[in-house]
Amino acid sequence: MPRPLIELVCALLVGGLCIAGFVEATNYTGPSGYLPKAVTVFALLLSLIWALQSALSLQKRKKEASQEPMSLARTALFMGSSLAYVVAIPFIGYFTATLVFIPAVASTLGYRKLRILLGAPLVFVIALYILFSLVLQVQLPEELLLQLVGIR
Amino acid sequence: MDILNHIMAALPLIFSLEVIIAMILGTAVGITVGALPGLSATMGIAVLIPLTFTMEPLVALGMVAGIYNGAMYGGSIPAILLRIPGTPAGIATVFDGYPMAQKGQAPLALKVSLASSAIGSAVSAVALLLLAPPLAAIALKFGPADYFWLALFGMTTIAVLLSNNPAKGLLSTCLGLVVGMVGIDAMTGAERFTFGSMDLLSGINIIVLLTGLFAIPPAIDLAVKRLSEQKEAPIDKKEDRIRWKPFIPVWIKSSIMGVVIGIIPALGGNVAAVLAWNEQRRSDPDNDQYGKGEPKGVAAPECANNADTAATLIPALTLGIPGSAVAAVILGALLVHGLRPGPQLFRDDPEIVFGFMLTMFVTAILMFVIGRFGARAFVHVLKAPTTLLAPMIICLAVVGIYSIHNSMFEVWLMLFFGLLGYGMERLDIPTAPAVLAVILGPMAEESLRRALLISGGSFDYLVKSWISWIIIAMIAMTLIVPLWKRLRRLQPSRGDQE
Repeated sequence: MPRPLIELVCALLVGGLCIAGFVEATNYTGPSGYLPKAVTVFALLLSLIWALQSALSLQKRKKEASQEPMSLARTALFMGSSLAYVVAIPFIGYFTATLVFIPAVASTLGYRKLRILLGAPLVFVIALYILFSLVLQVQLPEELLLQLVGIR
Repeated sequence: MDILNHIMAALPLIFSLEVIIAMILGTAVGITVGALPGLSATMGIAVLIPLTFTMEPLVALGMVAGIYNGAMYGGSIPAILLRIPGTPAGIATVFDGYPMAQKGQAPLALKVSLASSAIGSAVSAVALLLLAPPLAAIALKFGPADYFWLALFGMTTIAVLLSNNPAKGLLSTCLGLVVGMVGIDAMTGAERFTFGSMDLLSGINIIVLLTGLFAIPPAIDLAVKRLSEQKEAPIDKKEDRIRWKPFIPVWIKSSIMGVVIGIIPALGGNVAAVLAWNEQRRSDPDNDQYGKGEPKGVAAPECANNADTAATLIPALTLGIPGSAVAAVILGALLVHGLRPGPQLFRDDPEIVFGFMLTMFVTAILMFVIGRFGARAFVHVLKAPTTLLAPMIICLAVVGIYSIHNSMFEVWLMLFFGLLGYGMERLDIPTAPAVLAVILGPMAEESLRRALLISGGSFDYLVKSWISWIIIAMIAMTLIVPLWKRLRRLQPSRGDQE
């Protein structure tokens, strides 16, 4: 997809959100409503300017190289696995999820040195455990791994 | 005299064991973060702020000072060895640093870079110590109307100057203003943009936004671009002897340039470095050697980008107006520790604020020592696989944000801002104006309401003081100058067409 077209779609999307924001801001009465209304209207104007600029450059440059498909796939893969990692934390615990997430993502992205792939995340998790659980005493979600080992 | 008394009172505090350890750790972490291409001081500080929650304010700020100074020098390591600036401020170091490394003079280039960075940082810290207190004293005379215009000036400058397209910069500011409004309005008790969610009632924590916008996009970039696969320049083990005397005028000129540019909002270390390199080349009779491996071509940009560091904090600490993304993150760190930046900070917590300014000076010296003895280790950092580092950054950001309020909601919010920040970067929308607006938006709104309360609702009060008029003129200049420049650029091309 050409870059100006992506920008045009985004600008219109932002414009739509500004309208929704303004509608929401009309519910705020008195001084609480001044800034929300002013900001959403100003942002709507800016998004229209952006949309106009994108439409004009769409006319000028019809062909432009888009992002490499390979790089898009890697971005999507990394973002997707990060979201899955956060979903997993409440169920299997932070450290267990981390121990799975890092080697899984690194190997999918092409890292092949097995010793480092398994060793580095282990050292990293131990360091985080010492820092967050033992030193800072942060109450993290229940650990599946520690339950299996019988520590918790 | 007052400044000297405050410095003497803060000195014993910064030489406590905890602060010294924090400064050493921060500097080492900063150099490491800066040496990793794609990671910046802003990202390093944003990720590590949650770790400092339980620390005493000065211990936390000592660590922040170390990261900031260290990262600025660290950026020169990959610039010299890989031809990739580790941080945006390292861009001009590439011009002569990489050719030096190709000639087998990498240790010499790193030595020049380290000495110049340490001198730049030290000069900048002295400028901060000398200029910030008088400026804070002046700022105490500001009324609510002046503060309103000042906040507006901060937001406009960053939005207009940081983006090639002012509409995009201002849109980013609007995003920050909306984020800053989320929650219960402190003056009226009304809920704004909470959409019935209990989690949003207390507003959006600035650290959540900072971590999302500044830590997640670089992590995605590391995962996608595989930066560490670049070819390293050969490192000759024998070190060349160097005469430092010819560097003294370079350091004096570049430090002054760095400090001045640091004080001006939105310019930053990269502008300082490029201008200093250019000026050095212009003024040197042997200017044809620049770009081919001239050591002074490494000294000038490194000294200037480090001289920018503490100077950037002058408007941030004294007026509460951060002039750059990293200054905004440091203000976030101050807020986390219950310290409100602005002139009152100098009156209410002088030990902390003078202590922080002193840590900027001490970490400049520490940077030289750590950089000198740990040079080999920091060079090895370049070999760290980015495909492993990227998920580690995500893990660190997640646990850091979770530890603020033990809330998974905030972790999701951080990821949302991360994806939003990544999208904004792809679309060339700067993220720094959004963060600045989160800090300055509530300040502007509160000042405006207070001004209207004092004046009984009359808007005339907003333009009654001469300070307000000066700031209004500065806002007008910020908006008009880029427009005028654009028009001037258009004129010759029209003439050419005719």
